[in-house]
Amino acid sequence: MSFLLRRLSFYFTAFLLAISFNFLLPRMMPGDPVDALFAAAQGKIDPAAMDAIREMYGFVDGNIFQQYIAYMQSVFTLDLGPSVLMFPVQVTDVLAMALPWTMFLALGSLIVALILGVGIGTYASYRREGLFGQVVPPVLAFISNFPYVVTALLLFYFFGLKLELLPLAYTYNPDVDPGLSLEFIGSVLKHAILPMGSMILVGIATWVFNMRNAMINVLGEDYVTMAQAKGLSSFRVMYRYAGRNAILPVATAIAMAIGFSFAGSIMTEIVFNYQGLGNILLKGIMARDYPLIQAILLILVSAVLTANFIADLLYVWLDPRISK
Amino acid sequence: MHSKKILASLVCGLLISAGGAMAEDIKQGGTLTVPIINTGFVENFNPYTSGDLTHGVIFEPLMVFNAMTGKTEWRLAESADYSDDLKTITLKIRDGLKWSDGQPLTSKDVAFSYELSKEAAAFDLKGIWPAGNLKSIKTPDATTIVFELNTPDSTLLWDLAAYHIVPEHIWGKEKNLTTFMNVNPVGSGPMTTVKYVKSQQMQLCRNDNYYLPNRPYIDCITYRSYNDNSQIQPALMKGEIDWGSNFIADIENTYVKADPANNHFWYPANDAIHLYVNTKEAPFDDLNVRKALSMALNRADIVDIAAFGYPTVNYNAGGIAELYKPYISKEMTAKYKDLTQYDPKKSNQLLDQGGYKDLDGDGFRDMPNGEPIEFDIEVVNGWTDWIQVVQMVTEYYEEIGIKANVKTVDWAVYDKNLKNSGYKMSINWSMVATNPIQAYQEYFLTDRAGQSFHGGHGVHSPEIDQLINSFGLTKDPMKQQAILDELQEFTAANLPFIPLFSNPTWYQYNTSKFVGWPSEENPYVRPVWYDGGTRNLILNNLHLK
Repeated sequence: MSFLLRRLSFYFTAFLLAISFNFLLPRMMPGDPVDALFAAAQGKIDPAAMDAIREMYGFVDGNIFQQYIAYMQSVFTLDLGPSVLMFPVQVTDVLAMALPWTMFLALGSLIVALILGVGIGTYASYRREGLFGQVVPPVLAFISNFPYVVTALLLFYFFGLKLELLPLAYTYNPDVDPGLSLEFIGSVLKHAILPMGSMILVGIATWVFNMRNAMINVLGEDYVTMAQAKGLSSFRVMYRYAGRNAILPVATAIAMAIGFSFAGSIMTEIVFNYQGLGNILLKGIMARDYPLIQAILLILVSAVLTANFIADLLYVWLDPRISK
Repeated sequence: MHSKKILASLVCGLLISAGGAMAEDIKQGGTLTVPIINTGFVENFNPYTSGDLTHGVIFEPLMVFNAMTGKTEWRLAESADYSDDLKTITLKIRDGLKWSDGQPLTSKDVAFSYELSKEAAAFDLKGIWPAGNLKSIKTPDATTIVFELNTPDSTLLWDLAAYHIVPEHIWGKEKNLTTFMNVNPVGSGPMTTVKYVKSQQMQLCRNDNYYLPNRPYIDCITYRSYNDNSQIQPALMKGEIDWGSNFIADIENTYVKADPANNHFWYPANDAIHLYVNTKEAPFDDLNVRKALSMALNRADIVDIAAFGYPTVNYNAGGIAELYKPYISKEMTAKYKDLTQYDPKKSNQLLDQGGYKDLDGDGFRDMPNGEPIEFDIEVVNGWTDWIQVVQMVTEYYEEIGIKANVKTVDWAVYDKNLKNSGYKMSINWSMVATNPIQAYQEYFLTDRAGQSFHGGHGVHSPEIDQLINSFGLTKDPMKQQAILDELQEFTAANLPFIPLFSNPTWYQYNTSKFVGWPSEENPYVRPVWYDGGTRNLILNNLHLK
C-alpha cells in the first residue's frame, strides 16, 4: 500500500510539473493569438478592433502569474474555455471531435503492431538460424528507423498520389453520412489504412526485437529443451512454453509505447489530413491558440502518466517482490 | 376583391415564369465544391467569428466595389450618395427585400447591423465607432438609411461596405453576440439553407427568397476542408473541387495537362510586393544607396526564375502597381522609370560616388568610415516562393558588392519587426483596398507607424499626412487623382521601399460542370474567393453547362 502511495505522489508531482510546462511552452513562442489572427487576416482588421478581440478571447487580464493561477483552476475544473482558432466553440467540444480519431489511430496501430510484432519476433527467434530469422528483423529495423513523417510521405506518394488506390485525406469520405452503416465503416477503414499502415511499419520493429531478445534468453532455459525432448510440436513449444514467459517485459514496454504512439499519430495525421488531435495541434500552434494547445498537451501528458501508472500496477501484480 | 387578388397573383406568376423562359439557355441546378483551408467545420454561422465563410454567401453585401471594372455593383443597396458638404451619406436599399425566413428586410435591419458593432467592438472590422467620425445613423423610411458624420469624409463608404447585414429580429434578441453561433442562420444571400455540417465538409443550399429572379442558378455549394495547398493540388487534379484559390506548383503540367479542355487558371495581378527598407539605419538613410539597390535588380528574371513567371513585373516606383492600374500616373512612371531598370553599372557608379568602397579587401563594399556593410533580408519561414525571390535578390546585390543574407524568421518575429522598424530590409505586400489612398495611408500616415506593416520604413512628413487626409475632403475624382499623383511622386522621389512585382491572384477553375467563371476573356471581377463581395458576384454568375 505504501508503494502505491509513493507512486501516486510521484505521478501527481510529475503531473504538476508537466502541466506547468504546458503553460510555459506556448508562451515562450513569439507572438500572441491575436497577432496570429491578425496575420491570418493579412492585416485587414482594424487595430482598434484588435484590442476588442483580445478582450473577447480573454487575453488582457493579469500578469503571467495571475494567468498561471487561472490556468491551474481551469485544468482542475476541466473548464478550459473557448478555443481561439474555432472561437466561440469550447475547447472541450473541439477535443471531443478530434480525440476519438486519434485514439482509434494510436491504439489501433499499436495493437496491430503489437500482435504482428510479437508473432514475428517469436518466430524469428525460434528460427533465428533460418532465412526468416536472418532477413526479416534487420529489414524491419531498417524501416523503423525512418521517422514517421518520411514513411507517411512515401506511402502518401505511392499509394495515394501515384497509384490512386487509397484516399489522401479525411477520416471518412465526406459524402458518406456517419452512422452504423456498412458504407460508413468501410469508408473509415479504407481511410485508416495509410495512416495506420505507416505507424505500424514504424512501430513493429520495437515489438519484434523486444520479443526476440526475451525469447532468446528463455529458449536457453532447461524447460524448453525438456519440452522439445518430450517431442512436442514446435508451435506448442514456441508459443506455450517459451512465448508465455518471454512476454512479461513486453507487457511493460506497452506502457511506454502508448505515449510514442500518440506522438507518432500527430505527424501522421498532418500528412494524411486526418482530423485528429495532431492535426488540430499543429493549427493550434500556428494560431497561438493557448487554450487548445494546453488542452492537447494535457491529454498527452495524462495518457503517458496513466499508462505508466498501469504498468507499475502490472509490475506489482506480476512480481510481488516490488511492493516491499 | 378577393378574386382580383388571385388574378393579380396569377398574372404575377405568369410574368415570373415568362422571365424564367427568357433565360432559357441557362440551366438551373448543380452543386459547386470549393476548398477551404481550416481545422474543420462547426455549426457557427456568425459571420464575424466564422472565418469569412459566410459573407456574400449567407449574408448579401450592400454593394461591391469591383476593382477589375472600376464599377460599383449594387446588391442590397441601389444607391449611396454623399451630400455636398460630405457630411451625410444617404443609402437606399431595394424595395421589397426579404430575409430567408420570409420577414421583410428594412432600413432598420441595416442600421441595427452597424449599431451592433458599437456594442460588440470585436465586430467593428474597420473601426468606424472608435474613429469617432460617425455621429448617428437614421432611418427616415423603410428603404433609406442616413449616416451623419462629424467631419467630411468621402472615403467612409468604402469601409461601410465591409460590414455584414444581419436580421434584427434574430440578432436583437441575443445577449452575448461574441459567443453567438447563429446555428440556424437567417440571411439575404444566395445560399442560406444549411443542408449539413460535418467536420470535413458542409453544404449550403439556395435561398428561395433571394431578391434576384432565378438566381442563384446553382442549387448548392459544398465546402470541403483541407490542411494546406499541398492537399488542394491533388484534389484539383482529381476534379474533387471546382474552384481553387491556391498556389499550385508547375500548374501547366500538373493541372492543365490533366484535362486541357476543362482545367483552367487565370492569375491576374494582386497586391504589389516590395522590399521594405529601414531608412533610419545606415547606409539606407542615403537615398542614392536605395536607388542603387533598386537598379541592381533584374525584375523580369526574378519573376521568371524565382517565382515561376506567375507574378506581374512592377516597374512603377510610385508605390502602386497593376492592381490599381487606372490610378497609376503615366507621367510619374516615365519620369522615374530608370529607378526600376536593371542597370548594375549605374548602381556601382552611385555607390562609388557615395564613398562606399571595399576598404578591407573582402570583396564587399564598406561604409566610408570603414565599417563593413552587411544586412539581412527578412522573410517568413516556409514561404518558399518569397524565399527564392530574396535569395535571387542577394545574388544581384553581390554583383554590386553589397553583402546581403536571406533570414527566415517565424511569422510573429517578422510581424513585430515590420511594425516596429526592427528590420533592415524585409519583403512584404501592400494594401489591397478599394482605392489606392488606403495603401498610402498605410505607407505614410505618421500615426500608423508602429501599427502598420508598411509604415516602418521611417519616411514621414506632416505635409504628406495633410495631403493624405485631404483626400477625404473632396469627392471630385479629378482632385482625388491629383492627390494620388502627388503621392506617387513623393514615393518615387524618396523610395522608402523597392518595388519588385505584383503578386498573382491564385485562381483555378474547372469547366466540366459549371460555366460563367471570370476569365481572361471575360474579366467581370477579380476572381478572389476570400472576399465576400467578389465571391457573391461569381456565385451569381455560375451555372450548369
